[in-house]
Amino acid sequence: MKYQIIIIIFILSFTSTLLLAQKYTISGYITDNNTGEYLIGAVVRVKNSPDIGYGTNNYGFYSLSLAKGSYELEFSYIGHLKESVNITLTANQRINVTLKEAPNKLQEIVITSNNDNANVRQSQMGLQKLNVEVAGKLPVIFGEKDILKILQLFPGIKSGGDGQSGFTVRGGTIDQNLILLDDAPIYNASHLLGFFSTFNSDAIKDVSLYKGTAPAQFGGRLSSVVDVKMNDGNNQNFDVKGGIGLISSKINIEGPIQKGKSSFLFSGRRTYVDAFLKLFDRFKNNSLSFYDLNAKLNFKTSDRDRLFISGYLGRDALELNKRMGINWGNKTGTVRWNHLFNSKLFSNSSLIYSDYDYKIDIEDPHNEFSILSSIRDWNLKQTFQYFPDSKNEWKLGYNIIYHTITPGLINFPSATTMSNEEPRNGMESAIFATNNWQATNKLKINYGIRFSSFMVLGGSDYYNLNADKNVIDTIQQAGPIENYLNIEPRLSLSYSISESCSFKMAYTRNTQNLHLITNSVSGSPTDKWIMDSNNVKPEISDQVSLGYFRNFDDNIYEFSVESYYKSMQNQIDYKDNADIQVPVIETQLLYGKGRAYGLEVLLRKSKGKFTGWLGYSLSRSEKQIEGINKNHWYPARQDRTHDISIVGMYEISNRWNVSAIWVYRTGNAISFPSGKYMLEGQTVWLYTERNGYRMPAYHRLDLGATYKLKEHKLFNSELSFSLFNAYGRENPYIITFERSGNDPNQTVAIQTSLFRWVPSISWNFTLK
Amino acid sequence: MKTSRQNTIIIFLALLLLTGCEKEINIDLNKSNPKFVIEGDVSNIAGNSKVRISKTLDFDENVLYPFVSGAFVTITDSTLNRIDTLTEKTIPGTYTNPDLIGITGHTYNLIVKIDDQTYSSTSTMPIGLTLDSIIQENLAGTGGDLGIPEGTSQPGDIIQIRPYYINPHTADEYYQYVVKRNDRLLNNIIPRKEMASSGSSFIFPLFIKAKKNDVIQVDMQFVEKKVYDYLYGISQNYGQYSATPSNPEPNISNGALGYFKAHTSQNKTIIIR
Repeated sequence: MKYQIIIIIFILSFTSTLLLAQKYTISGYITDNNTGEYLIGAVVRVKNSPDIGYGTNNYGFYSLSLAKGSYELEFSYIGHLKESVNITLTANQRINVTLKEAPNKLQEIVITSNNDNANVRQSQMGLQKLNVEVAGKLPVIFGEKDILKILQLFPGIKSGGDGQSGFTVRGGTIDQNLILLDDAPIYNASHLLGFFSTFNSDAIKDVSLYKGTAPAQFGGRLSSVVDVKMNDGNNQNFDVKGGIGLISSKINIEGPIQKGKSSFLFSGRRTYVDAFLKLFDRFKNNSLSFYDLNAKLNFKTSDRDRLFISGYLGRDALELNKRMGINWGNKTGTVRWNHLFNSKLFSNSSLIYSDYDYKIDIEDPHNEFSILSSIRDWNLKQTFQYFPDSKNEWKLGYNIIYHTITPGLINFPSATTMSNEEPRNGMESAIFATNNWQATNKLKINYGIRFSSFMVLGGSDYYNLNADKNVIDTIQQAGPIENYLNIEPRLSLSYSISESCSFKMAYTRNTQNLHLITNSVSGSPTDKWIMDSNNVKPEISDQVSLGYFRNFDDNIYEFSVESYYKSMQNQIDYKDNADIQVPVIETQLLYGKGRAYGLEVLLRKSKGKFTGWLGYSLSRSEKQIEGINKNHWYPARQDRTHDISIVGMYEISNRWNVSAIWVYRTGNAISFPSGKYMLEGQTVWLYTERNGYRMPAYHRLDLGATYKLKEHKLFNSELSFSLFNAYGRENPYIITFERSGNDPNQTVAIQTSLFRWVPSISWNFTLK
Repeated sequence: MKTSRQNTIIIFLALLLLTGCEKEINIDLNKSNPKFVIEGDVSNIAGNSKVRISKTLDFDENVLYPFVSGAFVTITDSTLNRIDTLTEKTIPGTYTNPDLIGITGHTYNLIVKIDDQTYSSTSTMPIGLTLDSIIQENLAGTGGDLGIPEGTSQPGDIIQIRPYYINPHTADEYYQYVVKRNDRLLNNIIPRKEMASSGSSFIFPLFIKAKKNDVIQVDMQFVEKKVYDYLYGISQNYGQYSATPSNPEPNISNGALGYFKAHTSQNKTIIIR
């Protein structure tokens, strides 16, 4: 009944917008003058009524409707010169605008918001946008700039730690983040044990991270959506840039196929650690490497149609002693077609393929086998964007994903394939509608709804388990095993108290049908993805958030406080003493509820010679699962009380830029022994409660500097220096408990830490 | 020059390969109330049946585990309806009776009385498999263990030993390896299982650190599933990547830790080549 009312309100509000008085529409694309890139989130302002600002969508398109009359329009985008156009509106008009780069871009670096006070004015809450350029200014390990690492410096987005690949958002787990590269999900966004992300920042245009508050066109994960858009490729000029670093090098080539109409982009990155390894007897049988390839083609086939073809291929390989090899990687492909039906209706259709797999090869004289796991998606997504008038912006669409998960196919070359479990298939579909509504001059409301369904498809084995989690029988049927339906309402509103101050609130329900079964906080390549089944139900979260946003000093300083409470259902955890290698992993899992709440504070200076920010979050994340911790609430492993980031960048001169990052985090919750006893003549540990202890706190200072080298007639270039962990803090990676080496009568805790003082240097160039 | 460059790169790689740096740290671990730990063994080999009773300690105490003397211990063969009382002899806290020799297929009941508390358990001795031989499959020259090269270990450190059975197994089998090197018990609780469905062709080997001429004695003890589950739980608490360390459910009543295991024992010895 409740849902029926919601649906009726939706239909009414949608049709009512159609009945409004006829106005004329101005629409078009905003692009960069130099590269032809579509500018995402560029702003169109009607000067005569300065309260109205419109942003371009992910394809650089805008549309707005105004009554007959004369107007001055102003077009703007960060790092670009403003452009004004005077029009007399008597009919619908197409105005395509190209914006020139500001002459001295360095002094104009704005980290996130495109509009001076966009953070205050937009109704969206819990959104972190990132301009890729800032990535180049900050110190990073091995000199490799990385957008995911920089996002982790903002409140509510928490890193797993050194040598750990994942990140967690607002008390969620690492698998609750949907990471999209040109709409294709990336299931493992890390390279080389988490020191790099799969995103080569040279090829990236725009990054948005929604902290569980994403509008209805996104779905499928509880905690966050990271929406990464690749560059389209320069359709004006050839452009070559690259970098040579300590352990890897990269190159980015882009240019027009037909000037102004079509373009290509190719970007590659590869490490060369393995080449060094070959030089030494001791390590010649080991190897460790990764590479990334990004490619994109972009065609303007008519005034109304654009076609984008983009792909990503990345792979890690680790070989030990020529006996054991692990390699993993992602492959994605996206074909997108933008079509403009009329000045008010924009359509985007995407066909997306995504494949993540990992393979372990074991070779010894008696056993030779390989284990292959993979997750493969075919994904069709259709979005219509409708601009009925100057106050509403609708998005309607659907999304169908066909998932195939191979959970560990064991292959003996000598025998036929032996499979523990056959691949499982699932169909995830959703329809959605969402509207961005400027209700009054002060009130903006974004409301939407998403109907999602997950069909567990038959054709492979499913298991019925008894109360003790033992398999009692096997379900083998061709038809669907289960169909889970969910309705996910979303609401986000902002009320402007003044030009520089607003209150916001949001409510979001999210569901999740794919789950990562991992035995660590932050993931390893051998973690197991599973789908909903007859035993595993969709995870559901309901998040309520409140925020206060305030800018000071002509928008030079931005300040925000956000708080949230999130309640989660069907959360998954391992039972006590879980065996993570059993073929039917469901026998090791228990289900219950979770809750997460916290407060996030951000103070940022985004203009001037000195820029930077200070982020703080205070949070808690807990679970209650029958059969764990005597059925009491216990801290989730990723629970962290305090998390502080301080980031500063200073432009000393036109040539020198320096930067520093300091982070502090409470240690993760963990189970440590509270005592010991003797068994079979050995000391074994006595445990009391689940995750009742804390790892020691993590803190670290990184320093960086970039130096612009003298312009060469062929290229511009700069040197980047960085020092990771400048004061050499030994941050804990793992803590183990063992007999003391010095005194066998004592037991001690041993902490393993990774990097101290990692300096690096890299040279980045752009060909003229 | 060459050496120093080599060293630099090797250090760099060592870091990368996650050997990192290790140090002892102080962690404030809670005190725990002392609990009784009962290890009950019924073996099919004469003189090997025993019950050992001790107490738990706090983490930071010396590992001199207090033994519990003066308990009243009986083991009943419920198949034969025969009761044996076990008594403390030379070793304090260890209770034995030379007449108690386990028989495969029989079910045994353990009763331990300490002060006015009674702890009890039941265990059935499985039939198990007959071990034919153990064969050394040397992995000399591979350096380090199966995982990440330690960087300091010498070639040939890890020896692979594979057991062969006489009778192919048709049911799920649970067992435990107890390994001695040169008569010293190795610090490892190694529970294993062979599922009926896996067939007898694939026998998972043992990996043991040893050098040439070491005498390796392998005792393969077949136990029932609940004992395996307990030992497996204990073994899962070791290592850096244990998913969810916690105390496994013992098969003894009244809150005592430990196990009561009726097991068959088969010993094989090899000398490392």
